Amino acid sequence: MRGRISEGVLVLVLVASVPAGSGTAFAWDTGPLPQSGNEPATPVENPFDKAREAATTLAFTGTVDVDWDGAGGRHSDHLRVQAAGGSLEVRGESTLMAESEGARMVRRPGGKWDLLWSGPEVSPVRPALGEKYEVATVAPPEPVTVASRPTEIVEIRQAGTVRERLFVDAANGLLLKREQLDGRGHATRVVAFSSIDLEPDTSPPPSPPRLTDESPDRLKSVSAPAALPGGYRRLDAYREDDTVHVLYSDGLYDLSVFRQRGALDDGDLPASGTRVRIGSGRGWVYGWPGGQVLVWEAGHSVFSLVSEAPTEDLVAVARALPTDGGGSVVDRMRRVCHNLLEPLSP
Amino acid sequence: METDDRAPTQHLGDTLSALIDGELTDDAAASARAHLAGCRACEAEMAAVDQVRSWLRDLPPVEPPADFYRRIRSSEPEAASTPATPTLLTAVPATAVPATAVPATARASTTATVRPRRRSGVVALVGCAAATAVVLGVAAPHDPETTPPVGRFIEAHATAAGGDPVTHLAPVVVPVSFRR
Amino acid sequence: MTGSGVPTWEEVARDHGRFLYTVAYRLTGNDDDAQDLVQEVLLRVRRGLGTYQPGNLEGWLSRITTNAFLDHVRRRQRRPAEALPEEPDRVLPPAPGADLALEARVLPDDLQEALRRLPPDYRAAVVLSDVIGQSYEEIAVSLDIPMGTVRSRIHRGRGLLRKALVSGGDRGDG
Repeated sequence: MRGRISEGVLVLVLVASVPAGSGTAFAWDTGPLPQSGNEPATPVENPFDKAREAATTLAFTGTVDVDWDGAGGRHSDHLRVQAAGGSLEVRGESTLMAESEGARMVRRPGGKWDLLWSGPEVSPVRPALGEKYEVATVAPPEPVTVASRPTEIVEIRQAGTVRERLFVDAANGLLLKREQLDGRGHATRVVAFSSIDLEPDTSPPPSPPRLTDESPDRLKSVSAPAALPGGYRRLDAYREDDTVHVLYSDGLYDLSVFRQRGALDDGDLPASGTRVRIGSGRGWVYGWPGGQVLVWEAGHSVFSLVSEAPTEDLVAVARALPTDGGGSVVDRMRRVCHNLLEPLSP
Repeated sequence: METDDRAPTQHLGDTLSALIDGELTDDAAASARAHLAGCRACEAEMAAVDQVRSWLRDLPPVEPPADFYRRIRSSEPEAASTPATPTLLTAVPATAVPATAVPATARASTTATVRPRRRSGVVALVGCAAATAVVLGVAAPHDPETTPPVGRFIEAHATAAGGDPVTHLAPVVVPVSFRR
Repeated sequence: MTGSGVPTWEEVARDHGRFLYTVAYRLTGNDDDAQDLVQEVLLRVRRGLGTYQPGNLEGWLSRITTNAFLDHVRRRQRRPAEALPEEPDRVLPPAPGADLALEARVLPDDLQEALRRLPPDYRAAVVLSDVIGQSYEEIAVSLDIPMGTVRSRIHRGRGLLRKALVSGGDRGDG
């Protein structure tokens, strides 16, 4: 045999490669991501599309209230919004998020800007809202105003249960108030304008900087399920350092799955989570104003799931994500012993 | 086409691949070529093997994504704190189970491996003990540990997600502490 | 290269990143897994450089990559890969007009897709032999299988690829 090539390197990795447990099995589908242009036109009008168009073309300033159920009860926060010339800013106490020309940025406390995402070359095509949900305009007994603006009310229902109630400016389609409801009709989350000025006079328009920071690598192919339970379809995937971010949508809610290789170090996780079990892996759930985050470990990966979707959707998705695992105990033992003994041959 | 009366088991089969790859001894190669001279079936198969082999050899190199070189040069592998020449003993977890716990079937399997090799008995037992400990559920000692940056993931999600910008961005701006 | 002939980790990563990526991509079939595999390989390389004996560096790297790949595959399988049913040795039945198929051209993407569909053990053997160019003996060492198995896996792997591309392919223009 030529040369002495030690397999010592395999020792540590193989000892580590025996998984502690395996979760439910689901076939990862390797394949290219869908390109836009292949999807049929959606017959149901999506109120969010019109709202988005209004928010990025009109000029306005206003204040927005965010009410949400978090650890310790109901929270309420107040933010300022300013939009003009295609740029939009939402400003909190010390943080600011801006969107301009398809790029979203954050300015952190201390003044440093961070480009988070500069948009894919091809916009991902979401499932049509009507595939999973029913959209209906509701006529209330009396006209409802939000921030003194007359509104139309749109309800988005799933199998008869109202999931979202949208209050849309009757004149321009801007989304003035959004309520997310749980199965019993309680609004778990409300984002609403408390005041709005659609003819702002002298305030300078928002001007976020043009950043050329590297945004995450957009992946053309990824090893991730093409679809997840609940009608979530894979849209896009990004990679930054050792984290892969796969974006899914069911037409109404977007869902991000982050996957990191390694074992979960829970020492540094935020303190406020609720412990849960996903398959045989331990996990934590966190609430935040815009939704929930579910973190759990499975096999040799740590998954984080971020979405405003209802909890039952998140749990179904988490259970369906594949884990590393397999082989009988004897197989694994044999493999590990077999390879451990290799480097000892002189 | 000539009929070929030889039974299929007398055809060259995988010897054809070995011949094309230059892996036969001179005698075996000569014998294979002699067979080929008189066997249409094997000659056709030889051409087929040669064809797929050329296809594979002509595959171009694959360019990694632009980010890739930056990432592998700048990322410090988790092994930074691991000694460059790890010894087997350092891989053994403190709670290693004695070697007698190794199931008999596993031990029989290791001795049935194909290639003979010399091995140190003591270290082998220690290694299998480590493996047993791992299989029994003791934490694998060398999986790199990672903590998801929850706040950052929320921002990443909020920026990649679509929809109406105000109601999607507003919650992200609300000051919520995700530090421990 | 350092004077002693043992490269540093940085040198391996810089000089051989593209080679490693090619091997990883041919084995895994997608960018995401290929990047993970290369990271894993570099990790193993970093740990093992102290024991590397100067010689065929690319051979050593190929071996590490294939082993890392097969480890990864074994971890992900729910059960051991089913053995393919025994078939007669023939790669293609002789038939009139079979010669026409010999003129076929194949697109790299189609070939990569056919590679991806091969069972991992066959895929590893074919990639080591025909993409990297290792000898049967080197492959036997890389995959830890006897020479006879190397030969039959390569032969059958080639046959399966060809069958998928020539008779089963969608491309009508050959």
